[in-house]
Formats: sequence, C-alpha cells, structure tokens
Amino acid sequence: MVRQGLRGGIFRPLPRSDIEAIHGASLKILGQVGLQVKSRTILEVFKSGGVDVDEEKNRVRIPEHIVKDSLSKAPRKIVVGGRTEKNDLALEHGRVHFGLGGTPTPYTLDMEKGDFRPSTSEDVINATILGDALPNISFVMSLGGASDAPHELAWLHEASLMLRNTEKPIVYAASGAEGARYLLAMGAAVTGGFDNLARRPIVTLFSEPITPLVMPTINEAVIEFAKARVPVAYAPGPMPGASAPITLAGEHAVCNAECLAGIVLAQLVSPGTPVLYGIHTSVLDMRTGSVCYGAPEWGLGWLIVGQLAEYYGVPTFGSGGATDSKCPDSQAGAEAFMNAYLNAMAGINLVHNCGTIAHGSSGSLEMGVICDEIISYIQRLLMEIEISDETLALDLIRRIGPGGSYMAEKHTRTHLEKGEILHPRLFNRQAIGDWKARGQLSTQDEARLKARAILQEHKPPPLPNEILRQIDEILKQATRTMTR
Amino acid sequence: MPTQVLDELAASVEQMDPDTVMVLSKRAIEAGIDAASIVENGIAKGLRRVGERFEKGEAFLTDLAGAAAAAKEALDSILRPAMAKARTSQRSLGKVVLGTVSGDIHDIGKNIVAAMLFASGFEVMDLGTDVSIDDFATKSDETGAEIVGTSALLSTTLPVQRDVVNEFVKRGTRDRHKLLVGGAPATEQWAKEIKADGYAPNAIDAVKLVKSLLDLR
Repeated sequence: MVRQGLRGGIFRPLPRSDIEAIHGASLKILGQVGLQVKSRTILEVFKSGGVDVDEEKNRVRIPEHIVKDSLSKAPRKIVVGGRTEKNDLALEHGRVHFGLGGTPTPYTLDMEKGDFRPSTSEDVINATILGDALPNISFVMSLGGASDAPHELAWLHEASLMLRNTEKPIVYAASGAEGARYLLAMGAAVTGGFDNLARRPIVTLFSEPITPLVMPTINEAVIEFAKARVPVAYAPGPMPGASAPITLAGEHAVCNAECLAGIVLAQLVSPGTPVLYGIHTSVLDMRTGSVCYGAPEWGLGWLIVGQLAEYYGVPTFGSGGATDSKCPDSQAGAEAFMNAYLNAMAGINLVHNCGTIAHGSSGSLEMGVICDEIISYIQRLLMEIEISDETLALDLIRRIGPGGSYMAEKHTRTHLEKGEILHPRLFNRQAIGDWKARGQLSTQDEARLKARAILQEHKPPPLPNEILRQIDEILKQATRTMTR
Repeated sequence: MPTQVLDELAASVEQMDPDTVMVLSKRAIEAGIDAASIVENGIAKGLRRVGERFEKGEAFLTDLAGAAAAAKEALDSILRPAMAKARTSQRSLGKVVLGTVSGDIHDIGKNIVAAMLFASGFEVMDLGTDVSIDDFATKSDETGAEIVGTSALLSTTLPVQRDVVNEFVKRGTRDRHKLLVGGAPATEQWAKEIKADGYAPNAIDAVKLVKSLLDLR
C-alpha cells in the first residue's frame, strides 16, 4: 500500500524549446568547462567510466553520450520506504509528497519562550515526533540540529534520532564516504539488512556539489549509496549572482550540469541506482547576504526543475514550505504557501523544508504545524474538478427550482463526504464573537497548542531493543573513527 | 591637484571602474603623492563610502564586491609595490590574517570582509581559500597579526575552525592572536565552544568586532 501522493505537475511555464536550450547549455558546460573534482576516488570512477579526466587540474569533462547513457539507466520511478509499508512513497513525475525540515539548523525558535536558542538533540526528537504525527507530512528530515553532539558526528547522530522517532521515510546528508557507510548501516539495521534497505530504502541521501562546478570529497557519499543501490538526491544550492549567474537561465544551466554530473557519477558506480534531481534556486539577498528560501525566484526555479526532470525522466527532490521570516507570521504564511504550491504545481516528488524559518537557520514546530495545514489547502487545489452529469446536477437543479434550498439534499451530503469542500483544521473560520470567546488566538497560538498536544500524546512505536542496540553500536564505532 | 585626483580616485572605486582606478593611481604616483596617502585618501575612502551606503541599506553586496575588485589591480600592481619601495606602509590599525579553511573554497564573504577591514585601515593579509591549518598558524606568526580570521561556508568544513584554534594552542602561540570565525554555519555559540575570541555575522560587524577586540574606539 504505497502512498501515491498528490497529483501535481500540471504547470509548465516554459516551452520545450527553452528546456532544450538549458539542456544544451548544460551539455556545453559539461563538455567544455567541466567540473573540478576534489576526490581521487570520484576521479577514478569518472576515468574508468570513459569520462575525459584532466589529471593535473582534477577537471572532468563529460561528453553528451555518457550523460545520455546515464540518464537512460536512472529509474523513472522510485519507491522510498517507511518503517512500515503504509508509509512507503511512490516517486515519479507529478507525485508530490511533503517533508518536514532539511539539513540541520543552528537555531530553534523555542515555542514556549518565543525566542531563538541553539538547537539540541531534543529539538530533533520533538520535530521528528511532530513530523511522524502530522497527517500531511510524508517524510522527515532534521528540524533543528544536534549541536550537543560532537560536530563531526552531528549528522549521523541526527539521523539516528530520526530513525528512532518516526515510521516515515527519512532523507538525510552524510559527511563523506565514512559517514555514508555508517548511515547506510543504520538504515540496514532498521530494515533488517542491506537487501531490504535497497528494496524499501528508509534513508535517502541528500548530497550536493559546491556550486559553481566543484565536486567536493564529501560527495564520495554518493558512491557509497550507489554501491548499496539506495536513492541519492543530488541537488545543488547556488547563490545566484555570487556562485552562479544571477539569471534564472544561467543559474539553471550551471546547476543542471552539476545535477547531470551527479547522476553520471551514481550510474557509473552502479547502473540503475535511483537518483533524485533538484536545484535549490535560492536568492542571495544583496542587501543582507542572506540566502533566501522564501523568495519568489525559489518557486520559479522549481518550476524549471520540474520541467527539466520530466524531460530527463527522473524523480525529483524539492523544497517548499520554508520562509525567511523570523516567526510564523503573515510573511511566513505567504512564502511557505507560495513555494510549497509551486513545487506541487511543478510535480516535485519529495518537497522538503516545511517548518524551516529564518532562511534555513532555524526550525519552528509551530511553522511545521502551519505547513501541514497549508499542504491540506494544496491537496484541495490539486484535486481534479470533475465535470459530469453527477456534478453538474441538472436533475437536482430542476427539482429544487428557483428559491429552493440544497442544504438537506443527499447530493450535498454525498459530495461533502467526498471532499468537495475543505474544512481547515487549524486556520480559523469562526465568527468574531466565537473567536474572541476562545481568546482571540492567532494562527501561531493555535499551531503552538497543536504542537504541544502532539508532543504530549503522540508516541511513535519504538524500535525493537536489538535494533536500538545496533544503532548505538554504530554510533559508538563512528565516535571512535570520526571524531578527532 | 593632489586632493582632486584622490577624490576622483575614491569616486572611481565607488563607481567600480577598475580601468579608471588604474589610470588615476598612476597619475597620482606621477604627481608625487605618497603611495600610502593615495591608498588612505583615495582607494580606502572609496571603499569606506560603499561600506557606509551598504550599512544604510543603500548599496548591495555586489557593490562591495565590485568596489573591492576595482581597487585590487591598482593596489597589487602599483600602490603596494610603491609603498614597499618607499619603505612606507598604509596607516595601519593592526594586522589581520584571513583565509577560508582547508577543504572549503568559498571566498565571496571572506573577500568582502577583507575589503572592509582594509578600507577601515587594517593591514590585511588574505591567504585565499583551502588554507591549511599549518599555513594559518605559520603566516600569522610570521606577520605578527593581531587578528586571525577563519571562514567556512560548509557545515563539514566548520570543524576545521576548531582545528586552527587548537593548532595555535599546540604551538604555544594562542595568546599572541585574537582568533575570529565567520561563515554561514558559524555562530556565536560555536565560537565559544571552540574557544575562539569572536564571531561576526557580516563584514560590517566584523570590522566592529576587530576594532573592539583591539580596543580601538
């Protein structure tokens, strides 16, 4: 019983010729400029795959036929697994799932104190429990970060906390080959071995180049995941105007080249490795230096990503639901909705960053709850509008006639039950008097109450003791080998 | 004449016009103006003005980066050699060593910090990107820099900032320098955790931090 997700991907603003022009520019970048690769191991993979490697400059130039060949090997459809099958997600163009959080945020907006403080393991745990409980959240990343864990181990530690506290699929990053091997081992511990992990991967790797056109050593994680045939999301994060051209076109030409290089790397290691495609079209705010997640250009970028990925026939990793606002206010609502909706309209498969505020620097449980509500609106917006005899209801209209009422009719009840009208769970539609009687609560207040209730009541089923012991053992071993 | 050419030089920096900066720097040297004065009253003045406009929200990061880039060639090819020849130096509030840590190649922010510190009257030695831990410690001691700033953009290279601090401790030179950290994943708390002397979130605050650490103003 795999969750198929929302049916999105219906908005394609660019004509095919524009997508082909971006693709053509990226091929020129790959063939003429190439990428600088910082890792010997990655260079070797490219070299043995027939890619032109300039050993002196550590530069790889990838010809069109290898790109094409790799794309033909990458699966169009992927299933990522939850701890239980009811949480499995089908990923193919147009199937949209939303996820909580992203890579670790240094701060957490403490909902009880109303102020920012450094994130800790407890924040990661709380966010994961929230993500496990929220009905419209389908996968989990980190909201907050384990700043109390040794820095070298933070990602692994955060991943272990997520694995313990949710039955939903997890997407996470790993610090290079060694970190990736430990993360895979944890995933295999939960799924009962590496074969099961490949079949229903409970962890998906999020990895990225250093834009422009640099593959750092940390990208060796891609090789480890490809060997294990566990999905890899390779999704660059450019800073347009600084690390990439400021224009959407130029930025996507560069980053599409990077994505393609990541896909080639994975396919050269192990043909058929599931890969997810994505480009975080952030905005570098030229007044503050902030890398913005709530900008309109962000949403436009994901529309381009949706079309490029559809052109290539690969699933996608996206981002929507984040905001640059420092609290869950009207800016937050507008930005989170705009980019979550545009990701859905682009047909992006795994849309992360719900609950991320302050341009990626903080998590907010309240914002996570608000995003869950926003997603319910998006679900309604994406429902097909059915035009049929039943929905046109001409017989009914004749029978009721002018001046009559539809309120007591079975047709009304039937379609209400079928979801014709969305009734929000969080957003307020009360009369002024009722709203005042309830204490004039803002959306943020309501979200806080709901988050509190979830943290008190929701208990994700614990992992069996034996698996917990294995995860602890992996962390202990990582502590020995990865900390200085 | 001297003030006029220096005013024009400051303006050409502000207008991010490297060719004019070169022409005017040469003209100023030919007019017999002291190179240190050309830097202080021409180049740095232009950079400071852009910095002031940026602080007020009237200029963009691209203006800071553009002005710094416009000044670079004239400084490297004309003014610094002239100062060396005349055995004079820029009026200096202090020496700063800067670099992006080993494993990281992001330098946009670090370059802007370098330009703003320079414009504020500090002598800046920029070690570039992917700087080894050893180089940070060695170059800082060779130059006698009061301030050493490490930059990291990646959460994976952030720990190298701690390694740099530890290297100074290991060499017994920790007390000779104030060690600062910067970059997107760095925080005030991180600076405390690794026992650095400070953190600044942007170039303008970096200048203020350096000044306060050196008890200037």
